[in-house]
Amino acid sequence: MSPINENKYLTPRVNWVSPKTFPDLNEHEIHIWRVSLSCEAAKIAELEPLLSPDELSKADRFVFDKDRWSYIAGRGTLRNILSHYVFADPVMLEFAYAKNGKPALGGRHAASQLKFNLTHAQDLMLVAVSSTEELGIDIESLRDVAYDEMAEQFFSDEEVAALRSVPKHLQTEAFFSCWTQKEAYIKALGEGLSYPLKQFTVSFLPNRPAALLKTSHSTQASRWTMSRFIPCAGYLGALAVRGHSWRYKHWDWKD
Amino acid sequence: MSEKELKETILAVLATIAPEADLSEIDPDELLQDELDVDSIDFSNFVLGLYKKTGIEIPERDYPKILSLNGCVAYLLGKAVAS
Repeated sequence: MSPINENKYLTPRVNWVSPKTFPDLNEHEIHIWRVSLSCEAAKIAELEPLLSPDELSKADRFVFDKDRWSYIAGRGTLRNILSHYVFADPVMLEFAYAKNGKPALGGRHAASQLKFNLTHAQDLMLVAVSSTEELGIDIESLRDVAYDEMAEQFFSDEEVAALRSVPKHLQTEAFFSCWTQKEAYIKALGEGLSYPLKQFTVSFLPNRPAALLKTSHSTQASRWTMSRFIPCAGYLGALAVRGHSWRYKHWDWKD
Repeated sequence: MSEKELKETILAVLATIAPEADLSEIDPDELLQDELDVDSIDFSNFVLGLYKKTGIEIPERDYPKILSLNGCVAYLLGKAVAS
């Protein structure tokens, strides 16, 4: 193993592209869309009518307007993005939810087989889309957390040891790299917070590629592709998907 | 710990993970994650904080029982009585 660079982490920074026209999704591609949830009132007024009655009801339950606006921006934009893939009116999309809350296209568009997953942190949302495989994506804003305690509680023994081997000044980023990969994996599985995080191990050391190293059940770790990335300054993200040889396309949503 | 004390403890822990939130506005039957817009790290910190304050360890399989304020109070009350 090559020595850990003492000065910086090796998480790749994403180069986002604004497509001139809506891009085709090929079989071996994963599209990742970056969406700003910080919108003007006029934009919220434009997006709100796209939401379903249950989404509007949820929006109305937020205590703070900023959270309500953020939810409307996220849901409305998700509908706009997905509608391009299935050639539908965004208002007509229906969502179905797995037992742990993972959304999928429902109703007449369930047959499209389009797979997607979304994540948000503060004013940033990412939407990952595949035409064939279930996937999971997670982002976190980098911030001070009691990572020693949290790792002890939620990471596998191998991960705790790996985290302790990282130079102190890189440990916060290492912690978030591990956490986002673990979250992306359980989201890809369609599992929720109650999935035991200690029972699988990911690779997150600065000088090693992201990977699923070990699972406790029949899922073969080597069948998964994990990736980690910096979507923009102050955030860290990860994506998990079954299979290999994926091509990632990073698109900026500027509607 | 009484039900009232447990509720106060839970709210005190919530205040540390969602310092900007007005906790008096929480609907006790709604999902805390939706009410406070907390992410997975915040929620895990919530679990850790409850453990520190009450000594009650909450296994991951029981997380669905503590997703609302009322659910959390009932769960911890049950655990406290059992111990």
